[in-house]
Amino acid sequence: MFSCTFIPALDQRPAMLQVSGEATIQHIQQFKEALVEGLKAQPDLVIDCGQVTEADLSCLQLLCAAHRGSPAIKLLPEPSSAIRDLIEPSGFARAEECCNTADPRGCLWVRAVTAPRGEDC
Amino acid sequence: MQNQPYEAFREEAYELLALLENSLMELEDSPDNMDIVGAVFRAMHTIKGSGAMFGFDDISAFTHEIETVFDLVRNGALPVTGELINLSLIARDQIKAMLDASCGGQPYDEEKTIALKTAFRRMLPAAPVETPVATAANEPPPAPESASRRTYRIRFRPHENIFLSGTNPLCLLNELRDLGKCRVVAQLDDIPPLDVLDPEKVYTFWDVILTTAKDLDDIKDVFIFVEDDCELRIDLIDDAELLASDSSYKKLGDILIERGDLTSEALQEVLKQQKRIGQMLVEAKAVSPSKVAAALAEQEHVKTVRQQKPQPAPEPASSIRVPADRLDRLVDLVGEMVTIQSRLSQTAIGREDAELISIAEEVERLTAELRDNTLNIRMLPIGTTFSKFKRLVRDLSQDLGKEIELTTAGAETELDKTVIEKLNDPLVHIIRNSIDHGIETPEQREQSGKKRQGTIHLAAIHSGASVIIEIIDDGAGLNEDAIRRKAIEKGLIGELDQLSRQDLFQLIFAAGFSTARKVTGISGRGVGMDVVKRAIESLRGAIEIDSEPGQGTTIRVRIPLTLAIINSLLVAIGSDFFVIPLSIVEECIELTRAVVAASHGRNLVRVRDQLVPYVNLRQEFAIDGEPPAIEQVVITAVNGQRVGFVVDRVIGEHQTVIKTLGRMYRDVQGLSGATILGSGKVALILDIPQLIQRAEKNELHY
Repeated sequence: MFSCTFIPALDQRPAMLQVSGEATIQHIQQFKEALVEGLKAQPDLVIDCGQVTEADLSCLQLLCAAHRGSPAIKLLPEPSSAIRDLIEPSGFARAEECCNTADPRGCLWVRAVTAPRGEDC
Repeated sequence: MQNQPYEAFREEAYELLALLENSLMELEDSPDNMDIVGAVFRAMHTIKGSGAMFGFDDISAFTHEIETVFDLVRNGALPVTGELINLSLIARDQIKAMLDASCGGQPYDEEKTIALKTAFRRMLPAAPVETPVATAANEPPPAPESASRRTYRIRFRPHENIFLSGTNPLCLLNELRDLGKCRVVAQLDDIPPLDVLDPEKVYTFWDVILTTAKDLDDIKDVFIFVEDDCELRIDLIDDAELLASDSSYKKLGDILIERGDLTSEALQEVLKQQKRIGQMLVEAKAVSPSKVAAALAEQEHVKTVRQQKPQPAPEPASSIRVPADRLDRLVDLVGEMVTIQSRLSQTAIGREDAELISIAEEVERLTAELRDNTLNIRMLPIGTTFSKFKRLVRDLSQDLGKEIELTTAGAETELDKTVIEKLNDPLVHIIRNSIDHGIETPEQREQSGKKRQGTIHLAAIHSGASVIIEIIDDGAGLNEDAIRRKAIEKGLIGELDQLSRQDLFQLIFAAGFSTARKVTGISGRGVGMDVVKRAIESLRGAIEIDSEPGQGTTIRVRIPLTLAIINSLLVAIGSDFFVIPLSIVEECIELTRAVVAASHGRNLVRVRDQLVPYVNLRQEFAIDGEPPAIEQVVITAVNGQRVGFVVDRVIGEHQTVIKTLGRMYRDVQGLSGATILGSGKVALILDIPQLIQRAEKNELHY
């Protein structure tokens, strides 16, 4: 099971992409298409990975790629443990600068694990 | 105070000797395990060293001989043989005897020491010094596996399409992590922008810094299935052996400071202006930030690994040594506290003062916690006792020419220290019996189609407020006919008595009962099982036997967790109070005059269509006065047998702090101790098994 729901911006609330289920290689094309569509509509898209039950390298790679082109994206609220537990072992976390020098906030993954739950970083 | 370090050495030595015994027996099972050889050597070495330090010169000198031999074993110059293990075990006992002698025990046999010394010397090769040197000169020393840890830099770049072959690169990284300390930095430079990204391809590659005791080949093995689907480069970057010849030298700034040409403040000032090399390189676009991150990770990893090297393995959880009598004193005090607390609660309720009652409740809560914590301190895992039995089984089975393996389960089960100590002798007896009578000789076993090697299984498990210890052997089982014949011969049962199997087995606990046809040095004198039963009952425990002919025997011992404070049922007869351990109480029922009259003078009461015999405690203890119209029967169950006890009133559950009766009352039957109630009155603790026995005896006389 995998699903991606785009919720358009409303008043103060920015547009949001709700991802749930297995964000793995089997569904990664679907995930990518949803992400491309979502970013077209809203460059500072909020991606909610709180309901992801399974994730793999392709998922991390995809989000990294999205961050590269759209530095303003946010992972809110905190991604589910399926993703968080992958960041350290896969070596994706960056103590130093992120490869995306356009984002002053630094690495997407460092923020994902260190930011307090639900708080914007 | 003067002999305190002395004491410390002795305690340490006893512990080491226990450890040594275990290690030696493990070594017997796996003679090639160099870790155990190392452990044996270290134990000997420590005993020798601290022995000499505290003036135990004889022990030190003796241990030295054994240590020398094990040093050679450690270096591979001597093999581990059965003879060596036997000799070492005897030597261990001798060291123990020497220790015992030093603290006022029996003097030890000096000739045995000398004989053992000679035996160990004989094990040494003729020219012990030259042998290792010669081999060392001829061939390079084999790479020791555990001693040296090396650090590798691994660059792992899987092909783009590696996902298609079903490989998950992250699994490979996890496998590397199993090899040793590992730092992983993913290189993300090649990940393209989202619009051109094919999400089913892998763009990531990794720099891994791994410190491991394993070889290069072991690392390559991790990647063996993806060899053709990736680029792999493994470089050795740090080697424990190369450390000594470290070629890097101090930095320029440090040299200038050392010579006095530059102050460290001035150096810091200049350095502050300088950017870090990583930052400069990134700005110059010479390398990408992630490459710098990977390099920094490598630097940090090697640094931490190098810093760790001189440190020994981390200490196990810290603990402190406290003399046992201090703990006993603490438990006594907590007992007083529990008593005074129940008095406080009673007074508070009597005064009907809400404030006082709330304070009393608070005190009650704290006291309960204090009691549980204090009793917990005295809890010890039963495993130490189990390991003693390993030696017992080994030695006895060798003497008797039997092959027996001892398996254990639940060694971590905790029991009160005093209980464990008192449990030792009965358990030894039961195990001896199993070895001697239970398990057959290898030949007999083969004839009856069993494995040559017999098994004795020792298991401990928690069950409510008690611990159940099972001793299970797969031997011949109990001979029901022999027990019956013997019982008739001893006059314990009549020729025509029909007994249930359980009752028949219980007969072997009768005094002077042994079915063994010949008395061996180990068991069969018939002074065994009754003593065992008595010992278990003095711990307020129970013992059960079950046996299947040809399949084996199971002995189940049930022991309460602690001896100091128990939950019990408080009852009253006239103005006297008694307590019955709650663990054996099953239920309470009413006894009316009508019921008594209907049973025609027999002390039997019907409980849910079952007849249960009862003992009238008022008669038993000859207490004056008239019983109330409706009395109470407390039904107890001991060893599967239900017996009721008639009392005037049942008051309720009570926390009982057990006090021993004075010496004068040591031989009083039917009472196991006393306790002080909240009101300050004394209540006697009933020894239910003994009361049942007494009642049975009286019954026979009629």
